[in-house]
Amino acid sequence: MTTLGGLTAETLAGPPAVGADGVEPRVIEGRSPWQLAFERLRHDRVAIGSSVVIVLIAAMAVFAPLVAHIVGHGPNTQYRTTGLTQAGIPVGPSSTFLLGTDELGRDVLVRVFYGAQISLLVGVVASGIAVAVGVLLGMLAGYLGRVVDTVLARFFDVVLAMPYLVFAIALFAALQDRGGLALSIAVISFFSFASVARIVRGQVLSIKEKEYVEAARSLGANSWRIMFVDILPNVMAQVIVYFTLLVPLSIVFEATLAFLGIGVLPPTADWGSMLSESIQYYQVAWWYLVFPGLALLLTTLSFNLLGDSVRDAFDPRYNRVFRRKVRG
Amino acid sequence: MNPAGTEGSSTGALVRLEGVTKHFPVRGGGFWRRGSEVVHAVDNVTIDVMRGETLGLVGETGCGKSTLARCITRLVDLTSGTVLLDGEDISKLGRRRMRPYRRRMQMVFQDPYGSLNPRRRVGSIIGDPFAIHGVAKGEERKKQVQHLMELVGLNPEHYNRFPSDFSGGQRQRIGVARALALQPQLIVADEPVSALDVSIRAQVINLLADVQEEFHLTYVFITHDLSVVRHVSDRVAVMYLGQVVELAPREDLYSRPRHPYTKALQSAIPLPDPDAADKRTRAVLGGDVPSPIQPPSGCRFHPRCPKAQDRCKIEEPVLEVKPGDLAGHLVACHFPLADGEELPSRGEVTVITPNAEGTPTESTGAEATSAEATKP
Repeated sequence: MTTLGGLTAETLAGPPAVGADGVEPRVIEGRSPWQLAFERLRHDRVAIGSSVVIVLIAAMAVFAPLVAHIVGHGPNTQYRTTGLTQAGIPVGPSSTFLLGTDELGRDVLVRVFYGAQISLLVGVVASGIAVAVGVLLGMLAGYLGRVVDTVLARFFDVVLAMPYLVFAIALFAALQDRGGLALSIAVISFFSFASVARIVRGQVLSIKEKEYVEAARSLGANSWRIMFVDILPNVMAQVIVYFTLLVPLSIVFEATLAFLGIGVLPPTADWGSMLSESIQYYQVAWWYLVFPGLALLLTTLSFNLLGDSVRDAFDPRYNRVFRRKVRG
Repeated sequence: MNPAGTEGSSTGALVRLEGVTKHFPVRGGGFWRRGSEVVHAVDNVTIDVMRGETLGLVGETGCGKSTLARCITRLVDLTSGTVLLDGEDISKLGRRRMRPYRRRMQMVFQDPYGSLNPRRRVGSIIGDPFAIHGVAKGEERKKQVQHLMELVGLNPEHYNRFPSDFSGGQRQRIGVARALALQPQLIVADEPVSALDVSIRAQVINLLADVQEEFHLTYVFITHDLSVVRHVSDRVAVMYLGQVVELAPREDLYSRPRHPYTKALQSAIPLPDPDAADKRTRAVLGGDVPSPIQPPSGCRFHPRCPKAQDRCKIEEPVLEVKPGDLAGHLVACHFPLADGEELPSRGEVTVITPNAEGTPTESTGAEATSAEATKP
């Protein structure tokens, strides 16, 4: 393949060449819809920008221990002499504590870095589980139809109709302190999978009527093969888009749970629980409220923007990126 | 492409349909009446498909020809009747027990855009039959797929392309390659050229004829285009409202149609010569195709038939050979047409348009003409 960036973009943007039935040499050698979408993403400034922010936040999570080592403050260590004023009020940003301290004299900078670990872990893992379960159940409901569909579709409706916060609070209250991260992830996935399942079910309902599915059946393919070889690739684009949009939702959900004092157990550094505690001190310690809040905002904003870009990239009717790019 | 019964050991029926019936329950007949009504898509069809022949299946949209195709390939379950493939009853087999028979019969579909999975590469689409039946793996499969691509006139180097990189005619070649992969005995082609450009039709038809000769295939060729069916078929079955009304060797059917419906269809074939088209008498059918939910009593064609009499409303005609006809010429009519007899015109003035036997979206008029003109 001899195409380069600009040329490729132009060729891709054009309508598919409908030539004579003969062999028509084309510049592009069999690019998958994935490659095309990726190509579009590569030229989307918003996507690039949000990806960079996401990578930075991921780096924060990964290098949190290193940062803690460099500044010399543990995430849960309380610096009651240096980190608090004599009246017991958190100290503001300074050379010792770059982003100030919290009400127990802990370093906000280090805790924001450690908080990224929890947020990303919960966001990605909970969304991943939700998408996997949602795709499987949505596929079964849509493809098998009949009783399976009736039962599963009603189940999705029930899950979506549940007042999830009330349910989560009651669950954590019942389990008292045995909750923790795993339970948070389980609760978030449980309340997120149904919307994925619904979308997948709807897609499968229309795709299974396509002639290529009939062709697969006439070749003797079994239901599993049809579901996961023939139908799944056609819903994957939507699933990927939904996944990127589900990650920020899960992060906010986790922060909400932590804010309400359920989910992640103290003293684990977590953006949601930091926000929850900081509201009592915001008049004297603005930094305690602002920095975890800013981290949460940036993360969810980046994921949402990336999700939008991914959706545009997979939508062939939407050519915004190329119209801007084809300027010679 | 020999007509039935003229070859030695390889003669006889490859497929035998006996009383094949398919009814679809009507949905949304009200909450309480659900399932009380059915569409009579295919009703009591009994025909044989001879080894090595091409059986053309013609009829208007909605006459049940596609459903009949799906009954033969068991993509739908029969309501009643039997399908015999090589003498074995396959009409009641479950999905798993049906699998070995699927290797022996394949389908070519109408829509070259809908019948290929847009998210999969051509190589893996054509390789599907091998994968499903565990025939060839890895390099061996790739070699076979590329051989198939060459066979149907595609560049084997395009193995890794996607269906969207190909034109309509090329896609239909991909569909043919997929159908040929397991070396079937029977190919059921459901309107394989209707969706194609006129200029491409002849190419695909010729490809089908070439591979038929090479692999001794038997075809069931479904179309609403009488010019195409005349070009490809050895025998032609005419369907009306789920039933076969006439079945005859091609030339016999075209030169001596017996059923008034066949006659009416034929007079709707557009002629390339405008003078000849002006001169010929067009048989005009009154009314519309009746609802397949409540088909007419007796002969299903009687409400539109210019020759209908009281007997036709009561007694259902049997598909049989009439005195004086060839042994292979079957017709289901109480009052078949004589040689050269024209249809009497009726009071109603509904003009049957050239594409009345086609779908409204396709202008069969000009296309059918060109398809005939491009005969090799």
